[in-house]
Amino acid sequence: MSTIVGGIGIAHTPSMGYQYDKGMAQGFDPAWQPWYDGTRPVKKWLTELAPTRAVIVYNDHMNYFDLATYPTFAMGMAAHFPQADEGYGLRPFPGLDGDPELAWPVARALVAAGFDLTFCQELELDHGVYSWLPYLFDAPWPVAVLPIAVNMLMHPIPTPQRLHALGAALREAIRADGRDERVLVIGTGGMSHQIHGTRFGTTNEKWDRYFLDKIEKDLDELLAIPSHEIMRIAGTDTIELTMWYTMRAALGASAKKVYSFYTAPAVTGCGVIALAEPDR
Amino acid sequence: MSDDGDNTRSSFDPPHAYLFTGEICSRSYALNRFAFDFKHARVRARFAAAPEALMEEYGLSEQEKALVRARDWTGLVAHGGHHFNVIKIAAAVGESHLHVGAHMCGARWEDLKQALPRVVNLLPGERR
Repeated sequence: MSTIVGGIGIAHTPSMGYQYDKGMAQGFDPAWQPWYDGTRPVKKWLTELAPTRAVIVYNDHMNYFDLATYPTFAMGMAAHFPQADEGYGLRPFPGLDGDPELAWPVARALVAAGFDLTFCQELELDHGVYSWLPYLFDAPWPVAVLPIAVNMLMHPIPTPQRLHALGAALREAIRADGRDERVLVIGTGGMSHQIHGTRFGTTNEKWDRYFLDKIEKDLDELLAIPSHEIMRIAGTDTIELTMWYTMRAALGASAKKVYSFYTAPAVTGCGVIALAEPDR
Repeated sequence: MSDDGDNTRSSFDPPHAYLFTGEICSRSYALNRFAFDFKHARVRARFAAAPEALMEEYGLSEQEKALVRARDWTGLVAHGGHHFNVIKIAAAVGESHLHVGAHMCGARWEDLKQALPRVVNLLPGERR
């Protein structure tokens, strides 16, 4: 049986990716140097943890899925996932490998648990994955991935409770897959940000730090916060943070924080937390 | 740029924010289809060469066409364009997400950039 060895919650934003490429070529912007430095310990921890597979719960941003057919939950079943071109050309990174032989048993278990997924034989991954990916891993990527895309763009979107339940179902599905993989679960969604309307550029560091603190031990407290309240205080797009709940619920109650970091470089709070399962 | 001092107010109500719903999508699907396809270089090239023909082909209404011609980003989002789609049109004519943000705030780009991030510090249940 495969084992969940740890989890990561991490913010994503297009500028995070852009600043990585620029930073590696000519040195980091002073506003972004802390994020690069602050993610070094996570990268080092991942090298030691040596996961062989990563489940990534994320959302697309009109870069692959269009509104013609918009899935609420979609899982990538392919052997390879190219990077999505967001209109500015591809960044200098390879696509990510998938693992259909792991994805199908996991998908079957998730459907049995009540999650009627959309299955994608083609899927391109946008900045929801690629903006943070090179901060945590070096290409060629050392893990194959199972991406799960969640509708965060068109309301109604899944409730926080449903995203929590997905994590719990994922935990059971991974443990019953008949394989022997070391699985990392990553939940990624932007921290406080508001990128439309006259509230454009709102950042709420107090909320972001509170969230980073609570996600380890007080998930129930976070789950009790209505979605509209998160959107009110931290920006409507901040509802993406509920995808971190899936990651946390996929880990056991005894999972412990190894590291966390927060900085607010521009218009989006950037935070990361690494959680380890005991004895992994 | 002057902050209205209460930018957490009425968070879901325009013009403070434009929450995109299924109902809005159904009403404004043609516009969103049009804007989404700007991810393809061939569509951007066609827009640069013959914008009116492209808008006609995608079935945009006269009002939508006028908003596109005017580069009225706020109007396009208010009309039902998802902001992730609308910024694709903006990018194709050389305007960044920050330009779109400035348009929404009724501010000059330079002034908005100076004002960022617009910090609020609230926990759930708190008001200022």
